Amino acid sequence: MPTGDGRLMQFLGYARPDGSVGVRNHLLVLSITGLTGPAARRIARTLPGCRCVTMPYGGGLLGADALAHERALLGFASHPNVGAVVMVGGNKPELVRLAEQLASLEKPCEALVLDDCEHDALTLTDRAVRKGAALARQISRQRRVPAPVSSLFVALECGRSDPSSGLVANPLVGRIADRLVDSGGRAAIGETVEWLGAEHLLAARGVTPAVGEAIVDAVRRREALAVDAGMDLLGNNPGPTNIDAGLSSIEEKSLGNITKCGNRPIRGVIGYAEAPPGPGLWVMDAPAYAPESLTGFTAAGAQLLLFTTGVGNSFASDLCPTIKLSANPVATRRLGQQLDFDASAVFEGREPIETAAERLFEAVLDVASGTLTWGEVLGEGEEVVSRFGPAL
Amino acid sequence: MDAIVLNERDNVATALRPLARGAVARVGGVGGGATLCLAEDVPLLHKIALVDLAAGDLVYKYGEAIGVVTHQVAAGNLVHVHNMRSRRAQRPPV
Repeated sequence: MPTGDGRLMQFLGYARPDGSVGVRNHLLVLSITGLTGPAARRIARTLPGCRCVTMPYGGGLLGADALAHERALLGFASHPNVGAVVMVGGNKPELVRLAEQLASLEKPCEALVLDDCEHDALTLTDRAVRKGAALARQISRQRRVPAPVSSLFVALECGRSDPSSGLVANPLVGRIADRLVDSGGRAAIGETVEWLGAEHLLAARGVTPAVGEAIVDAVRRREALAVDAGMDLLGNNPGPTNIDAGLSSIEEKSLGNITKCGNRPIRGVIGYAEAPPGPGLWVMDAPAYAPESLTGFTAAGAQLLLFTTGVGNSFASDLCPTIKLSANPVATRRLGQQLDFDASAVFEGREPIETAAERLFEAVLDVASGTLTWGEVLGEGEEVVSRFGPAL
Repeated sequence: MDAIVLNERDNVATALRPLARGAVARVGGVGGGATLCLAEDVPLLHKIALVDLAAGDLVYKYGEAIGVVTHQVAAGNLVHVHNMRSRRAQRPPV
């Protein structure tokens, strides 16, 4: 759907009552606490094609864990990529509260609590399957409609990086970030520890001095965690894979990383699984490990993830299509069923980076409009919510 | 192009293919068009000193300091964890 100047500025998505637009239309089976995880997986097996997310924890969570749990549950259940949700759990007040929040967002939902099923997981299973089946049919009536690029929130990740990530793949993604932000959309990076060494460059791009301070502070706190735990920051990041591939210092790796967020001003620092409150570029203070990092973005409402890798990384979000790209010629030749976008031609000097950026933007809109990523085809996705401390 | 320089402040180039000791590498990117004679094998994506670097000099890539030289390295030699270290990480050099 080109606009007058030939540049693609739309995709085909699912318009939600709350104004958001989904790039997928999943039936989500969501276990809100660990007790009903196995039941949720059993329910999901009887509803082929659904997505299943189970939160392994529940009672006894404190502080940051309680907050992340609450944010993540609402984030998954109300996600733009979710057409409807079947929620199961062992905590009635929590389930009721969530159902009320979803009702106010007009997200189709069924909530079943173990207590109301005579505490029988098989009764829960039977009722949830029947209700889930009805929801699946209901949401299958919805059709994609044209939607503006401004309705996209795309988060940006790197994993198993090598210098080709910093030389080509990340700068390429940075151009997409700029374009999204310029179109009124949202973009975000996370992986706080990987800003270490380059945080002064990010801080200078804060829209206010307070944002800059928050960025530096986030890195300082993350660094303190490592030091307090007696961790060897030299030995662990860059890791052995990174060092073998040529990265010599965390500064080098971080400078290569932050190119993936482009050049636009940074609106603010958001917390783990926290939805960015407005358009523009945001940075999430979050762990670097991909499963936790991706889930932080998904729970925050990102509809798509752009994930650069050097040597290869198959992990994806379950709810959020995760577009994998690499510029490493060896990896792109070998990983035919993992990498969604091949940037090696730029690395080999056969394609200008601007042309590749145009190609990548088209690929992003293509996936947004329904083309599956390898991760979706092969089921490489899983949601993992971070833990921060002990439970009672 | 055998190696790329990303910024005019940089004093290292990054190898775009495995390069052999004795090869004359074509260096492209910013301020490109130079050649560099390699004093040792340089693996794919590893860094090569563009100029002689003394212990204590800063290593520049992306126009920013990525670390400090720990052992003198001549132009055309590999720059990596054996002769440079991070300034930002807490632990002192081994």
